[in-house]
Amino acid sequence: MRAAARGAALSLALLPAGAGAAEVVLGSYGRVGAGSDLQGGAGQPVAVATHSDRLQAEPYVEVDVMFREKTADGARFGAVFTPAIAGPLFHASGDWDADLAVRNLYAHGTGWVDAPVTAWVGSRMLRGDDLYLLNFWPLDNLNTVGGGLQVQPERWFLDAHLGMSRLNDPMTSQQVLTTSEGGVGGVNVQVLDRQRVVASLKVGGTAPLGELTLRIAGYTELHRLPEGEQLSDEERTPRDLPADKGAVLGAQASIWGWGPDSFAHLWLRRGTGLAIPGTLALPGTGLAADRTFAGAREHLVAVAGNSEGPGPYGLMWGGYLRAYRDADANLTDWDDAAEGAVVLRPAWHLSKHMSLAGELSHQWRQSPGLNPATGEVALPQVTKLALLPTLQPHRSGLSRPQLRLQYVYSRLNNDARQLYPEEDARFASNHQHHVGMVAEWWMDSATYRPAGSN
Amino acid sequence: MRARPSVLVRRAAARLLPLTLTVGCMPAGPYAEDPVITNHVEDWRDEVIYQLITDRFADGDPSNNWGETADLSNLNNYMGGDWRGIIDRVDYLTGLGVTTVWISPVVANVEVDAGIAGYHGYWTQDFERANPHMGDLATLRELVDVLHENNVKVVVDIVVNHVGQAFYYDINQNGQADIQTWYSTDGSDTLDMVTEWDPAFDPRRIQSFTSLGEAGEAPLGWVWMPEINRTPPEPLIFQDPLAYHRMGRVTDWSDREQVKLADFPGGLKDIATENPNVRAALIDIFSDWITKTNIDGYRIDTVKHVEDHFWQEFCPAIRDHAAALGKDNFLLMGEVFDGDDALVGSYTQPDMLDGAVDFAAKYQVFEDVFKRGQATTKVEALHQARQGNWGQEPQPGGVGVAPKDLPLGFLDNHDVARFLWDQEGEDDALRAALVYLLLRDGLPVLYYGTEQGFAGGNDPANREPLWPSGYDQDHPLYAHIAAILEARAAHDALRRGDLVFRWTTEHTGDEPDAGLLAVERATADDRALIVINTHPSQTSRSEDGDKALLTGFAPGTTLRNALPEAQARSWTVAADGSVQVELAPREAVVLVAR
Repeated sequence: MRAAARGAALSLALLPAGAGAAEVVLGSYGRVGAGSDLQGGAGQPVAVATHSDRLQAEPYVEVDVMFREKTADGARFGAVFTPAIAGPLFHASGDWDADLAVRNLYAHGTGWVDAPVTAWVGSRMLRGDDLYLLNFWPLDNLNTVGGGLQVQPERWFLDAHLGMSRLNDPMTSQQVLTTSEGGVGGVNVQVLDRQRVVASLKVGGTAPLGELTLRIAGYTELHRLPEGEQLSDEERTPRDLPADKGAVLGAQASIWGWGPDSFAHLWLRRGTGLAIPGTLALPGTGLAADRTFAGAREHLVAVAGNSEGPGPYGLMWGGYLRAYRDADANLTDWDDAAEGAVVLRPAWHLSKHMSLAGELSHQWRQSPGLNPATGEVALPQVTKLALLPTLQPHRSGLSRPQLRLQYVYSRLNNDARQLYPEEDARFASNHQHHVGMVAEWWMDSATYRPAGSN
Repeated sequence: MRARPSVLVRRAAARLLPLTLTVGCMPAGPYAEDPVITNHVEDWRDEVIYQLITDRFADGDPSNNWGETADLSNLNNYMGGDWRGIIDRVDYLTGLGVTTVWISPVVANVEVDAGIAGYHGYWTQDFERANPHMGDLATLRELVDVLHENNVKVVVDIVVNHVGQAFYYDINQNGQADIQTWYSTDGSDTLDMVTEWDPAFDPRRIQSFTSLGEAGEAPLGWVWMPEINRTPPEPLIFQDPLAYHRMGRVTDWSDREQVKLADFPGGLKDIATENPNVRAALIDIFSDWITKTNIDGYRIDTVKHVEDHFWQEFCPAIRDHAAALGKDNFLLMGEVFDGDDALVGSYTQPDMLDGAVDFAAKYQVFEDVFKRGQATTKVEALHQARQGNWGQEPQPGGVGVAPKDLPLGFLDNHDVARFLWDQEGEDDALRAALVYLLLRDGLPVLYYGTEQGFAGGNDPANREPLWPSGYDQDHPLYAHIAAILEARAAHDALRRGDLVFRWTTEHTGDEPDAGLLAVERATADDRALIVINTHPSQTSRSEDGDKALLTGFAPGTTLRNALPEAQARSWTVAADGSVQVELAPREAVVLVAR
């Protein structure tokens, strides 16, 4: 979850204001930082749970280019294009290179009927609220190519979507080289084309609760992957890949209104089969004997929130518990796990623009299986303590851009150390340090929505 | 009818309860700790071993298929079989009637070398870590547990003679592995072109050789290719040059010392098993695998390539460890790949192996007699030789059966072409040979795929994946083996009985008894007469002058065939204790009292 953008978004009017006005608006989310492990190196973050703190997150930026037009009859149409760049910075690596992806590329329209209905078509991130401190969307977090409808009257809302994707994975996509039609040269032919179809539905409503606002939502996803046939590389022996499926059923309760940027979320989620790894991944391990993910299941409880005040104090928090069983028949399986993380970030706002925050977190992973490196049962745990002096435009832990210094101390137990190769510095010591400076911002983002919207 | 709110609450609670229980914690699985050690073998002569290549038997867990191929033509790659697959196919094993499974080595291997994968398990990289292609330690424990629940025992293949190709000899000291460099094996001016990976045997140890001549022992160049798990072997002691003989590859197989000291073909580096630290490490390693998994025995690879005294320390130490755990009758049997029965038997002398894979019988009995129709007197001759060549008394602390009574007969295995390879689709010889293999004395070994009529040639053609067979339990050979083993299970005499030759012959032509073989096995309470016509084309009978097929059955006893065939026939023991038997070509009967 992100607070409403307060930054100065760049808006370029293309036509005179009023009916028929069109504009291009720029938005962005980004983060960048530099630091040291106090050993002369940049250091690497420590994590044992799937979702860990974001203090040492890799640099990332996305820029939203949003075209908006309001017609004379009140309809509003627009398009969103969001290129994103991740990975090391040129000024840090010397490599004139970047990993570029298109995170949004869709058009939308509202007001084409006399009802609060928005239609969209394209490629987009389709996300609900996040657990900011763990960089985690616990309930709805789709990356999809498709379309949907959003209905949003006064007190309730409905988001429905149908999307599809074919990941560049040998289980879903395969090309083989064959002789070209002319008999000279080769041509690639797509022989495996398994497209995952995902349908999602989120329905909810808001209600006043005294001076507060309560929002309840139910959510479901259905995933399906058709059957296919994979060819071996050399002899092109066919191997059947059976159809696969999965589902998510979840709910969210949110409440806000007791202060600026103050809210709390509770999520419950049950995932099965193919839906568990999300839309950008296929199960890599833990497959059933028929190479499907049938029988895998996940249960998740997560909370997050922020509270500003009373006085110059704020507290952001988050945490989750997750239990996961994969689809294979192994009873003592390292891939299965119960895991969790809790994180607290108290802040003391020294002035409108300066704060002193701290962050305390603990994460763990408990598996019924054996650590393959040691052949032993393991309970890896990491505790972190961070000190975060920050600068920001407004008196809030969610105000952005934020510039911060940070010192992060991580304590790993021995089981956590043994998750890393012996050559890794994190294997060598139970204590890791990181000192750095970080900037993070979000401004008029097309993807992030403030609390209180759907 | 609408559910009452309390019902809804209870339903919701019932759904949430597992959530709260499972989210909070996930206790260690049932195979997370060392197992309770249990005993499952009363007498190894009761057992029938099914030898399988783990990678080829069944793929039960596609998640551990790291780079396997579905190409049935590429038998040198990993193909996906694993321990989970064996667990899933227990019914196939018990339906066949086998009682022990011999699985491939379980330790982590070099992934690939010269385009061939280490799917077979004989290229150790880490003696202490499970091969991730097969599963993890917990799955191996589960396999042993599930098989024990089904009264199937587990024998694990191990290698102490060598590791995978972990290093090269840097003969020219240029810091890289050269495919070609000059070398003199005797220090003379006569030079040969050799590869630094696998130079020919030099009893001085492989020497450095530069343009100015020899320069002492060649340093070892350790391979560091973690992407294919080709890194210095673990544990640490196997990264010490003194842990190896460093004499290059065997070139003269008739030289016993060279066979023991030189690298195995393929650049598999020969371990210095006389080094006391190495010896202690190997004892610890293979003691620990018993502790960790509750397995029932070891099949030891390349026994004759290891110096003899090693076995007299290794075997008692392993037996002591098993006994200390409470494991009785832990089997130590080994591969002495040689047709010389005396040589094979030499490794069953006191404090050595409980039994050995019977290569002499493979060649002299099953190939020469059953396949090629040579005189059945060869069968008796080899049997008598074994009585003298092999250990006469049970090993101290061993399995309680003298090695001479525990030969591990086999028709084929992963190192030789399958029995049917040169049989042009005919399986009569195989069917007859199976009767003798499974019902003679000792501990028979059945190579996987025999029951499906597999006919692959030499390695790797004899290592076919089993799954294309569909695990057909209606296959005639599957049914034939199951019937033989059912008879074996039903008759003590066919498992533990003394063996007496009742009929052998030099005749192989058109004589009335040509190809006839009869052995009788008897305990105090049970008796069976196994009669086989090994002749490929003639119906033969027990007739040779005044010679009679005598039995230990009482005169007047009516005999029937314990196998499903020829149930309508019966045989009556004459007053002199003899019985007349006539069999079609390659027909076999197992006569027991009706």
